[in-house]
Amino acid sequence: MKKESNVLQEKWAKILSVLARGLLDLIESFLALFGGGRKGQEQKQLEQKRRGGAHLTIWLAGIFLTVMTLLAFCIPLRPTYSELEQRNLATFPTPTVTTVLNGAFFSDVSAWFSDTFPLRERFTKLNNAVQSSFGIQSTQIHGTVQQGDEIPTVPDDSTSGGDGSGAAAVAEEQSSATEPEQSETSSAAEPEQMEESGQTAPEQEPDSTQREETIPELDPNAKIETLGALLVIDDAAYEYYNFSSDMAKEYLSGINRAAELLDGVSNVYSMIVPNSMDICVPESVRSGISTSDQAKAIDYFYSSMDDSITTVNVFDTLLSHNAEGEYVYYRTDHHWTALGAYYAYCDFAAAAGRPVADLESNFEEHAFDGYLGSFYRDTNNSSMKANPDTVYAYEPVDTNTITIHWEDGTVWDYTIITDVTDWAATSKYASAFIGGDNPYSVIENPNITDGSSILLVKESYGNCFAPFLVESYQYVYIVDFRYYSDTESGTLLDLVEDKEIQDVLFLNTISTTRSDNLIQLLCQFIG
Amino acid sequence: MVFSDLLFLFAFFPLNMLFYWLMPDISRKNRVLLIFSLIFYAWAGPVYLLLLVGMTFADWVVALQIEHCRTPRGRKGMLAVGCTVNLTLLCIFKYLTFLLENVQFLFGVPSKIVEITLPIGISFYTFQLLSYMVDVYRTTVKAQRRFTMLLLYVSLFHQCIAGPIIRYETVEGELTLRSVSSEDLAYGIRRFTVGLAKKALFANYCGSLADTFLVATDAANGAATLATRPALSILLGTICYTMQIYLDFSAYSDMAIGMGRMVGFHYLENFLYPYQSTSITEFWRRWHISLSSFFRDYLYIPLGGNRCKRSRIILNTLIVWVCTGFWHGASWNYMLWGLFYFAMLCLEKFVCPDFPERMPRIAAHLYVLLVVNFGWMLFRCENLTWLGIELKGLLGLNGNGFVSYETLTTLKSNFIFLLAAALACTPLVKVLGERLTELCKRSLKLTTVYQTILAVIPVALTVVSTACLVGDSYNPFLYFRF
Repeated sequence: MKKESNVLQEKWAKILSVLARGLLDLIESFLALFGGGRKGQEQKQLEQKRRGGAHLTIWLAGIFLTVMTLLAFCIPLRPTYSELEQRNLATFPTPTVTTVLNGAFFSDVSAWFSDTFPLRERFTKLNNAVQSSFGIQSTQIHGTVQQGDEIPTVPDDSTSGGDGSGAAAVAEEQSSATEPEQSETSSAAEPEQMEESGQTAPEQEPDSTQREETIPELDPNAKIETLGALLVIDDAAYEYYNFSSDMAKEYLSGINRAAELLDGVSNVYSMIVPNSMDICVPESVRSGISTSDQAKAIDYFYSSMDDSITTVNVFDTLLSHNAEGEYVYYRTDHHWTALGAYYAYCDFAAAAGRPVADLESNFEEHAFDGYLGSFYRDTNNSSMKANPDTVYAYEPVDTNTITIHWEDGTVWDYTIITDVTDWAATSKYASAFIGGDNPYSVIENPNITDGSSILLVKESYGNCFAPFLVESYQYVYIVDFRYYSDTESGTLLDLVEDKEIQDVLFLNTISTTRSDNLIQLLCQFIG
Repeated sequence: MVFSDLLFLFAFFPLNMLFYWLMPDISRKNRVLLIFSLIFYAWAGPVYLLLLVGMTFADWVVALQIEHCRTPRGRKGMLAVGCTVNLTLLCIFKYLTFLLENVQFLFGVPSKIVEITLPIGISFYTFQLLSYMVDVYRTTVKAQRRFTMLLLYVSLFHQCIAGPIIRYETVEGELTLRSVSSEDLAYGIRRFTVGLAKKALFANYCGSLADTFLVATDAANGAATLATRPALSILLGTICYTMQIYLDFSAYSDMAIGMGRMVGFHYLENFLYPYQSTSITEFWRRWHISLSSFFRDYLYIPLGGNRCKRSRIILNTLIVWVCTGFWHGASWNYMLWGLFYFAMLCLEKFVCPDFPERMPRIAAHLYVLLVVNFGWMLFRCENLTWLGIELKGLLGLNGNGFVSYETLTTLKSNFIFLLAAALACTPLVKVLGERLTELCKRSLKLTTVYQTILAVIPVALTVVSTACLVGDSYNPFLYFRF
């Protein structure tokens, strides 16, 4: 016992002496560097100072490296989720024989180590601060700008359902081609899915911690399409739109096929919503940049659609309201605001011959400030952060209840407009309206009894639009074609016939019409 | 693992230094270095560690045999065996897939091509082993008796996977006898952190700017996008790439030299500010010196070098540049790149001898930068269709004009960075440092201030670099495919 304690003492003594020597050395190097000396020994002092500087370099670097290393190994300090990117950060991999042998395990460890580095947000902030000094950045281009195709001025007849055979053949080909990928593509994301990958969980008492748990991990194999390139001007961003003639043909053939299927069954409407680039950016700036003309593209789409489709052109409506200084698009997000959607709704209801509800008397306004949307997350721009958006939501006075059918068959009653005051800054749009993106939902207005019904086929642009329909129809059916594939209600025609739906509205943002993934999913739903 | 991995910076390297420092004598210090080096190498896939160790073992035996042999023929035979083994393995792992692809393209057979993953660093360590065996054959160095020592030389993580190609001769003595003064350690720390900042702060961002101005090499329908870029965008993109490739690669050498110095190894410089050359000949004396001197000493001179007929000299030069091209990657564009330099060097040497020297200095600088920039264009495009689009675009033949709003905006939001990166490619900072050191000889106060700043810089650079590395998922090490 005694011997052991002696050994232990010796060890401690040794460690202490090393530490003491280190401390002495540090003090010595400080003295050498900062202290004065006798006159007439300049050469010697210079030498001393240089030595002191070297010691100080070593000490500072050593202490810093030690601190950082200890910090890096503080596992509890490592974040597991990034609010900003809305994703779960890498997790520590589980080794298997294969992954250890081919090195995948080790590269995963490296990825985990850097992805979850302690103080991640702070370092990211510092990085942004550094990069913001790289030049004059009031205007920036973010992402890869892709040139669009020439937009044809004459309608494309080949996709029109007029004679039927051609379009049907194309559509069939597509649906058979996409079927095997069904499971893959349904999890594949699109602009919207970046933020809404987790469908908002319609819990009755939502709070942000619950929400985090309900966000599923992104499928690592999913083909994630990010936003297109962005033009950032001060605290606002605008998404580039590149017209793609191939994608346009596919989109048109899908919509025309729907018109053909629903011929004599219900009225078909199409609304293609421009994004903020062509509505909010002055012509003087826009004329110089490589983004396709959206008004022209929408004209082309509408002119190439089957005559049985009623097209609703909201471009000029949005343009004029924006010109009056109204808040029709978010600055930090790629969506339109509920106000913009309301004006589009007025156009639609008029075209469909339905009563147009008044914004003030038929709806109760809610304002949720502090919203930072997808543009902010994509650019991590500090001007946007300093000046976030406000989400205005309009709750129909007749009802605020929506019945949501989930992919797994679960049915929930939820709120049409949800109070998202306490929700994460980046998820307010995704969560405020109709419970977010869900495959299939139904709203019934108890005060309308004429049996009127509409099916809204939409992506996330339709979320803030849907509540307005409640005041014009007894039944509002909502399908998000991106997630619909797994439910049991069948394709478009089955649903329309089953529910005896009068009107069918295809509401798409213009970005959808150039996206391979989304068009495939839409065609899959159309059948 | 790469040096700009956070795992390397804040786990591997500190642990390595801690254990190294705790060991009382050189043999145990070497053992620490060897174990850490093997872990470092195995990180990319432990299977290829077998290749590294196996090749080193074979060459260790061969070198001993060379020394053992009494007859010149026997020595030559042994050397031939060693070289054949090394070069065959290099060819199989690096070029077989490429070769088969081309055979398939021409003759339609074989129908299926094996995909061989390139073992990390094979081009670098094979060359180190070759130089070792040849040096033993030439009796420039003695064969290493202990296998672990040779393995340490080959696998040392400072240089094993991305150079510089260090000659055995350079470190022979220091493998068993080396000392580290506090000045050495401080110098190593500074050198390493400067390299880290060059990589994390400058090179990576230059790379993303190059992708913005041109298009990312792995982008979907990248060729179509590239065809829409105006001339200025393409020019700026190639300039960014030119800066990226220097900053990236020289950063790696800086870090290697810095880490070497911290444990007492003195590796030779690999880059001497190549972009300030005034002729292509000079450029290649300043760029990747360890590679060009390898080809000079182990290929060009044995072929006869300059001491033969002019036609033979040209042939020798051609052989060297074909090899240099292919060394950089198994793809035709690297070959083109090598041949391009062959043509330029022949131009300077034979067609109009020394013409850059007769130009005004500024014109000569411009000439070198233009040639080098063009060279990196060839280097970047593994796809030759892209190269055509890029060249046409540079001349404004794709119908996109000279400039676009996007180009100007991106330029405006990054011009300070671009200037700083350009200065980082020049010896400006180094010259300033030397001037200050001179000045300090006259003033004690100035010395205090200067030395304090020098002590703080490594920490500051590491903090900023860490921020860049955390904040930026964009972190490919370009020289990895070699």
